[in-house]
Amino acid sequence: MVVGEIAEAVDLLVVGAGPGGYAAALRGAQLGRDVTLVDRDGEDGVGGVCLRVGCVPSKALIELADLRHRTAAATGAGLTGAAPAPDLAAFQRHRAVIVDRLTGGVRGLLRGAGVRVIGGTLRFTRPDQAVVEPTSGPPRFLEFRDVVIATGSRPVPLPALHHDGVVVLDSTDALALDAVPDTAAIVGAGYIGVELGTALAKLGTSVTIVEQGDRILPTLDASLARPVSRRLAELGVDVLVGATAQAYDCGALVVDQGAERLDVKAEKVIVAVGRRPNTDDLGLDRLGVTPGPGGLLPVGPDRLVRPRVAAIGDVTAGPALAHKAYAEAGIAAEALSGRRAAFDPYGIPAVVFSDPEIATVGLAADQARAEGLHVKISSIPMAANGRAATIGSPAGYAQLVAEADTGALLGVHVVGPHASELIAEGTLAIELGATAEDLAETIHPHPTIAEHLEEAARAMLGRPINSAG
Amino acid sequence: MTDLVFRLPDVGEGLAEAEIVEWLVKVGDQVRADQPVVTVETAKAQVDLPAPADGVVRSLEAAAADVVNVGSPLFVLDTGATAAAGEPAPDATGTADPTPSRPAAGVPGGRNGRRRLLAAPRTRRLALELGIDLTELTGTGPHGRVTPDDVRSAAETGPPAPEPDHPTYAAPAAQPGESEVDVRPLRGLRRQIARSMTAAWTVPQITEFREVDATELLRAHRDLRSTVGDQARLTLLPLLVRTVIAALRRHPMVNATIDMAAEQWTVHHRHHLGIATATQHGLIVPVLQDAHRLSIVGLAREIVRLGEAARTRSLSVEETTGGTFTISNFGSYGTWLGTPLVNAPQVAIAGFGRVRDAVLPVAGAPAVRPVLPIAVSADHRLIDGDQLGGFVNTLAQLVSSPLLLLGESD
Repeated sequence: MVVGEIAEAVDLLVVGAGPGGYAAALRGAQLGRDVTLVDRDGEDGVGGVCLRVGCVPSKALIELADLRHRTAAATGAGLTGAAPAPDLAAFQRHRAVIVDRLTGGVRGLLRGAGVRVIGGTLRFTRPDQAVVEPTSGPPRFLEFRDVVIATGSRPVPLPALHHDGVVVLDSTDALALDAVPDTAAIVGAGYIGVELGTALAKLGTSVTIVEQGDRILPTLDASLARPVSRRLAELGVDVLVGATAQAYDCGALVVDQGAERLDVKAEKVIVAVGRRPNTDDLGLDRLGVTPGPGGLLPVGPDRLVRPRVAAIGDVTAGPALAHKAYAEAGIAAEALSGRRAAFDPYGIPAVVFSDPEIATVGLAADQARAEGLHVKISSIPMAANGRAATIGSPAGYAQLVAEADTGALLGVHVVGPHASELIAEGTLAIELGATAEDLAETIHPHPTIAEHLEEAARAMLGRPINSAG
Repeated sequence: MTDLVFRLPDVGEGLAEAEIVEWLVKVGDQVRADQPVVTVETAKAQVDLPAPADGVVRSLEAAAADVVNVGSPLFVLDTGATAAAGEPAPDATGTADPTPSRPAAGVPGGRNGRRRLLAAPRTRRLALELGIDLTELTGTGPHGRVTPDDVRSAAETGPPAPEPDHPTYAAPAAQPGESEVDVRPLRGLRRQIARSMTAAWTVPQITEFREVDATELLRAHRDLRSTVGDQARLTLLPLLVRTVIAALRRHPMVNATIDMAAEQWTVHHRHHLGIATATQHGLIVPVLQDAHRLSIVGLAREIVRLGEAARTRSLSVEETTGGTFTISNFGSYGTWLGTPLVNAPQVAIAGFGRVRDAVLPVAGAPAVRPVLPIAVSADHRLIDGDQLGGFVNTLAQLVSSPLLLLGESD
């Protein structure tokens, strides 16, 4: 820092304008703090990866692909005519409208709350100071009282596959495609790879998924992944497990699977092998903060790394999910504002927008047993659900895990249509300490997918109606 | 076998926690009732806690240097087992009725390892705000569900909530080779001093200074010392205590305490005088209970006894609490004049500096006299400047003419 520079005084500094960052800024403003939000892309960065180039655009693409596919699949169910042809260029315009409306909404909220948004790359220079370098113009120096680090994560590149944004893509590039490729290889069968692979397959691409592990969705319970595996096969997606991508050469992805070397014809290669926290270029040593393994920042239940410094979202341990960051944002803003606050959920729901959708919250039976809890389990196939049949998507099941003596729900796991919506009820039940009986005695509307949770609870109590139990 | 969970008892007024200094037993040891088991340091004193009954130590629930809240489990005693029977201490995993393990990181709302704690998010948040450890509660709802009312009633009847002193954030990783600083936790007495001083700083206070001709006081001291002889070691301090009590009698509202939470103040008719005492552990303020009833010899002996107890950290809780006014004898370590800080919730404190010779005008001519500097600070919320001035005038008058004490009623 040059002598004579004058630092601007900042009360609450939030670094990163993704879901965690903007939520922390808004909560801070609600608590009466004077908030400054810094993002690499300034106002354009508001919404972060999730809103701009991640969850929201991907759901728009998945919705479009599913609509086309279901229209085609309804030929025998009462629709005739050719399946509509995808137009990804039009989709990109549609997507831009959606993203602009959503991010514009957040920008309006920030303005209304009096949050100052600054664009530029931030580096900490002292435990209470940072410098922000905008893409043009002189650097600005900030002297802050409290800081929330919410810089998120970025895709991990594969050294063997040089990212060029033309052939070798990351998930952001894949969501920005303006034409449907004839062939695509997806490296990594985590939730991003499975979601993208499913969507592209439904749009007409011939998709191969290459996974190093022995199955898709390796972080989820194997039984949850099974209906999705079957569906991928039905969609004609080739899944190569125990396979490593070696190089891209002459229009093909070179893959080693066991002793065999395969050439996977691929117009595009999409690398989706995980994400890494953005903690390496922040000057954290100047802030007096040392990242732990994998670059994650160690935080307490109040999300503080040390007094006056909080970290939330993908830069901390736990699932890299926007709703986790939202929840942590409130805790961090409150803890930094002198309130007692702790991030202490009984469950963080996780959703894969695969086909069928997977949604899970709380403990799996094995996890609960490992914690020393005595559990009982109820699992009902989706085939017993009338609404699933009318949707034309009878694959999957709903499973409840409850404590044996009290019946308190510990875990809710759903594979099936609209599982992503259903899981909120399961999460609420777990947080409230509801029992299987509470769920069974709650009237669910018919015919819905939601009533499947009531049915699973009834089955647990030994009195199912629509299933053998 | 019978498990008895020994929790940190309420060791005295205003003390919500204690630090484990040393375990005097280990798991598996046979102990007898009243045998000291653990040494804990409260903000006021170090005490040994005795075993409540005969038995075998099953588990220690805190480690040395841990800070434990009142009511938290300290150790588990199996009162059904005796080492005399030759039985090894039973393994904790064999119990039918498991004793609560320490919740991880002390976070209310955590699971206790055996059973899901049934408490809704609103209840958990309330518990956090009120400083209630949910794992320590028995819920009154179905299946032991903890309700917001359970938390509220625990907050009303239980020990005071510990200060939210952020024990939760991850400790900074030690940097190898970084030896230019020595980071130490603020613990025990030093932390209590820090808290008291912070509390003192929130008091808007005013200070008045006087320099008093101490010729008569020193003469009286000399005469008294030869009279008292070997009965006690007579310093100037017992005389100053006497003059302070006499001045407090004439200005009763200076011998008061204030409670801003209740918005009331209390005038005390008894005089419990705190004596600020420097020890190698830090500043301790033992209290001369009913100082107004003690003779000069009694005061001298009691001051010596309390000072010794302060230095050996063996003061009882009663001997460190309940003061109504404090004296700081900062002259004893050479200070000429300083500003004493009001020892809240008391409303005033008198400081006495070192006597030194100075030139004073005596009968219109300069004369060299021993001079005692006096500084009195008062809580300006209760004591106005003229009231403080009146008290300091009286005190100065009595110090300069100790014979006037003869005219004071007892």
